[in-house]
Amino acid sequence: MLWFIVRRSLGFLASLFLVSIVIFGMIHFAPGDPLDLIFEGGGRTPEAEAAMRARYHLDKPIIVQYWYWLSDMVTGDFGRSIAYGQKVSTLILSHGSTTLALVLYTMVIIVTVGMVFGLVSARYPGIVDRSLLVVTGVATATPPFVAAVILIGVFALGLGWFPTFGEGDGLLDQLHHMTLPAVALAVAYVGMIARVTRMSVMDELARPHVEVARLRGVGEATILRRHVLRNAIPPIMTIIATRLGSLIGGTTVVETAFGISGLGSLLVRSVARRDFPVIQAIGLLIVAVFAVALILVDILHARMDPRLTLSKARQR
Amino acid sequence: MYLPKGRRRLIAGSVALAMLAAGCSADNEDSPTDPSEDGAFQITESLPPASGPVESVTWTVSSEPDQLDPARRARNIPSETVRAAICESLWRITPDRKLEPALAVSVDSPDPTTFVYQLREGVRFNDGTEMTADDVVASLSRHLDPEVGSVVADAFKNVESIEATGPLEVTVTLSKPDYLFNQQMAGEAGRVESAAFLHEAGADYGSPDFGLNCTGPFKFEHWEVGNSITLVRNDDYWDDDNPPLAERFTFIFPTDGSARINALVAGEIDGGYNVPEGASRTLLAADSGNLYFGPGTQAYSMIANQSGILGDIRVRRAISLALDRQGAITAGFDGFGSVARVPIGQYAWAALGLDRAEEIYQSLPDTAVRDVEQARELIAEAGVEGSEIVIAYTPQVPQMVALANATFAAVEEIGLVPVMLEMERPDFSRLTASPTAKDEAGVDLWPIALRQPLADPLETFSIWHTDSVYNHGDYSNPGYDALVEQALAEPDDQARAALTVEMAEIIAEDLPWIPISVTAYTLFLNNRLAGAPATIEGLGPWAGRIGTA
Amino acid sequence: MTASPATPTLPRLARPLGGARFLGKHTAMLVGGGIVACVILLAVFGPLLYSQDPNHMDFGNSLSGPSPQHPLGTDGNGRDLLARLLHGGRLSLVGPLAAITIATVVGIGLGLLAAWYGGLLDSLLQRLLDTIFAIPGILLAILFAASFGRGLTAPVAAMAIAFTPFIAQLVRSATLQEKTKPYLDAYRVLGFSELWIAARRLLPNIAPVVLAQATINLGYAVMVLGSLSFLGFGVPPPDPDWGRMVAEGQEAMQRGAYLPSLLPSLAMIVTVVGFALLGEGFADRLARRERG
Repeated sequence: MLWFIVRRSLGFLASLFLVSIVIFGMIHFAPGDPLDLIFEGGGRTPEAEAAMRARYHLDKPIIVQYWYWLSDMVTGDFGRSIAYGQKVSTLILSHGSTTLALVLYTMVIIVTVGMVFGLVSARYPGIVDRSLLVVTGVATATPPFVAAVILIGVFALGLGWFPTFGEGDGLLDQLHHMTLPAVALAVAYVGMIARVTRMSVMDELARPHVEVARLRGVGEATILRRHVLRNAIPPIMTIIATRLGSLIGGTTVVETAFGISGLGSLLVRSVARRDFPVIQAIGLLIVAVFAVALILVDILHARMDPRLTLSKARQR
Repeated sequence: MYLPKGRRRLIAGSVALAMLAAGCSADNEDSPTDPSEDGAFQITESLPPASGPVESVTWTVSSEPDQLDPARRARNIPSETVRAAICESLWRITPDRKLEPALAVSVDSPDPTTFVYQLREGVRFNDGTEMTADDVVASLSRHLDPEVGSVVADAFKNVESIEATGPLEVTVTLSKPDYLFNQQMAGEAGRVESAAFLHEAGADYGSPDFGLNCTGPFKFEHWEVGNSITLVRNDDYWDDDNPPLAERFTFIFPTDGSARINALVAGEIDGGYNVPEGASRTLLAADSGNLYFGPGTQAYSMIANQSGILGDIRVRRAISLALDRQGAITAGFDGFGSVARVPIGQYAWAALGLDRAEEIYQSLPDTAVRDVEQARELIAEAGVEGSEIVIAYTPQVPQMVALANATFAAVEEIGLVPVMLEMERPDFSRLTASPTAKDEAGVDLWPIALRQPLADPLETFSIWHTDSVYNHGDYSNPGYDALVEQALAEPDDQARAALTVEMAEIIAEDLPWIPISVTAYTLFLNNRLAGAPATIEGLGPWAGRIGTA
Repeated sequence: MTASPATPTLPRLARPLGGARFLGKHTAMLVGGGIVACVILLAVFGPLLYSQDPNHMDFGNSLSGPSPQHPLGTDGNGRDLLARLLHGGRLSLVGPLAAITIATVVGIGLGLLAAWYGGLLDSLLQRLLDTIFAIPGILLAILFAASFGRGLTAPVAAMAIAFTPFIAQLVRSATLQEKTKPYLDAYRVLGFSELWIAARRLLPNIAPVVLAQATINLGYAVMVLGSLSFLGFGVPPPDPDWGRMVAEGQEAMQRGAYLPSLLPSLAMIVTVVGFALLGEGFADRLARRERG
């Protein structure tokens, strides 16, 4: 088991390393001058330009720049934003907490709503089941930006129940502000959780030990909680982990639509301004988080079913 | 073949329903009419003053400034707006566009190439240190430093030396007479910062971590990147006649134009200048506050690249004749604008008196008159039918999109082939920042918004001097250059203004930039507040004047 | 590092709708196919039959509701919405189609190679695919847009790369299963080359599953590329594209006009649903055939 974790972690580091090369290389071979943003108003004297180039290491060969970037990252220094001149690590910390809150809120919605839908679907087959499946099917086909715009139109602009932008101050206010964005992000994934819950519940309900429990007089609710739903958790976690990458990617769209200053909208703004240090840092961070989630789910699978580990090894 | 239609019927049904619902609401939206018909578009010269202090004010700017250093962002409105609450210059511009003492109390000009400034005593920076001549020298001189690469270096182009000739005296020596320089000391070029702070911050001056350390009504407290900049009242502010009324002043940047408007309407944010014209109706109807249209010089024009087809004046005139300016104003500004006759609004001459300013403007050729026929003839005469015209713009500024679209339509109508070139902000800015960018990108026309922060119209009209760094289209006219030189050396304000009228006439004829529209400055102010200046032009200590209604 | 644990029997597809078994035997496929056919027909022939210029601006007429002149109304710039919707369909579909086609072709190639020759090649390929898996599709597309600028090329390339691993893994699993089947040995005995066996005998057998997955992926690609256009990368203006239209329509929503953003939103949802139904319906048929 330990060996398994070690192997996975090494694999993770190797992939991360490769990805860092890809991200760094891609952006640096991009056309356009990263300093354009600084000199937007003018005043691009040769001396000023030279000073800025030195500040951002742009006067060094690209391998050296990559080395600086990599080695600085190990000490927690992600460079400086070209737009703000501020340390990228500061930017990421301030924006990251917002995105973290949004993602967690979204996951809560996905899991609760998904499980409820799945449960109801399984318990009431027939018209209820079918309608729910249609609804969730359409939801899954709704990209986050479409959901965002529709939600803004109906609930923020139309009914005025929710604010149209920002993250809010204080816990309750933040929850209020982040509800629509979290829902918009959750829409596309609720269906998957609902389905998995439904299948798992249907599976479990048919099992003999559930019948036995019923005969013994154990209440429905307890049966559901103890036997049935427990079984749905692993596949749910698997789905969340594997879709986490695309969920985080979705924050770019949702944060932009709702004017939330999180990592997603920061990434989009940085791309528009060619603020490379920020783009690189956020890109790598997203990949790292996703990769960690995948490893965790792999470990979970390995723990649950050692047979799977071996069979996977054989497949490789 | 059995085709179950249940699903599709459901979808089709909901589409139809949605369309009906949406269609109904869209139908209630009238096509934009002339706003002056509603009586909505009236210029407010000034607002009633505030009656007392207020605990906190939240303010919005159109986007987040990325830098507060005037050397880098002197011409960036969000940056300027925030900076003007914290920093001051040697002079201030009064509402009737005259200069009054601020950090300088007087100036003496013993000869045409020397200005001797006497500075105010007892002025303190945010950190408590007292302002001396050294600070002024440091602040001004850095604009001359090539390593700083200041965007207002042009204001100092005739400066030979800046010296502290006394603890509160600064002498500026010029290489030739330049009366515009003294006017510049009322604007961004004249901003005074503590020399020690400049030294300490170095290249980080004006960045989120350092901020500014100036003499104005508010102190820089905290900049939460992506969210807000918080200022606190400067209780040691030197101007007892204009004490800052708000205890906390917070700038908030919604990342989205619509979000900004909604926040104002909902009363979540107290006010803002220059709200997008498209939102004017929404704001006029809002109960939480009032929308005012203030006197402003801002005008939108299309810069013509003289090195392409646009070098032929017939082509420029043709495009100008074919432009549907009113249509562009409707699309880009929801009708809240007027047709521009030159690339600046009539308030450029406000220092001469508002009536005289209007008189001057009306005497210029009327660009509202369209003549597509004649335009086509001009194109035929120039022999350029079917030539490509590349129109560049950036989607980040919606008003510019409308102007580019209008130009596109005009160019197409007269028999040329317009090509739209969307550029990202850094590339688009290079068109003005770099002299070669426009030719490299092959751009013929691109929009610009021009303002005149100073009281002197010469600031605007010196733009089209051959050597000016702001002469983005490379217009060159020796006769015009001579006029500009003459005006620069003219000590009398009235005489100088008269010369600028002559310049305006040439610009209206030659169309180095094709003027399109003049827009009023908008101000939205929540009902609970009062005292905000009706316009942000001049940018004196505006923020301090805002207090309870 | 794997993205989805493979089941021992039929390789599990990434299924957005989770199987359309709730509809009848053929319903899903037929309905999906119907929708897709409609959308494609409208996109291809619509602009030819409806000749209004999607880019012609008519400022006086902006945000007007449906009228005989403009059956679906106009947007904030006075441009005809129906025309923009139809032309937008072309641009919103051509990108995903190109991306998925490339991803499928390359994926088949890589998957076959990895499964057939195994060993070091297989391990290297797995490492490569894992690296790609680790980067979420939309992030890759945004990074490509950051590097290579505007236009469809960058995002399409990114999408092609992002979706290749799905097809490759699928093909690899399927090939590994089929590879050992006896019927192929017959060909080997007869002296046919491995390459020939792979291409002419194996491929056609796994093609249906691959096709089903590719169809589902098309739906995803439409969503991701739409998101990209919404953010401002991708199709440059003034050309319409559904994602961009939704973004542009946001301002109109403020002024009370919902059509400019509602119409492209619905178009997108319907299209994605169509592809998902078609792909999953097809996959289910295959699964049933396999079981039965």
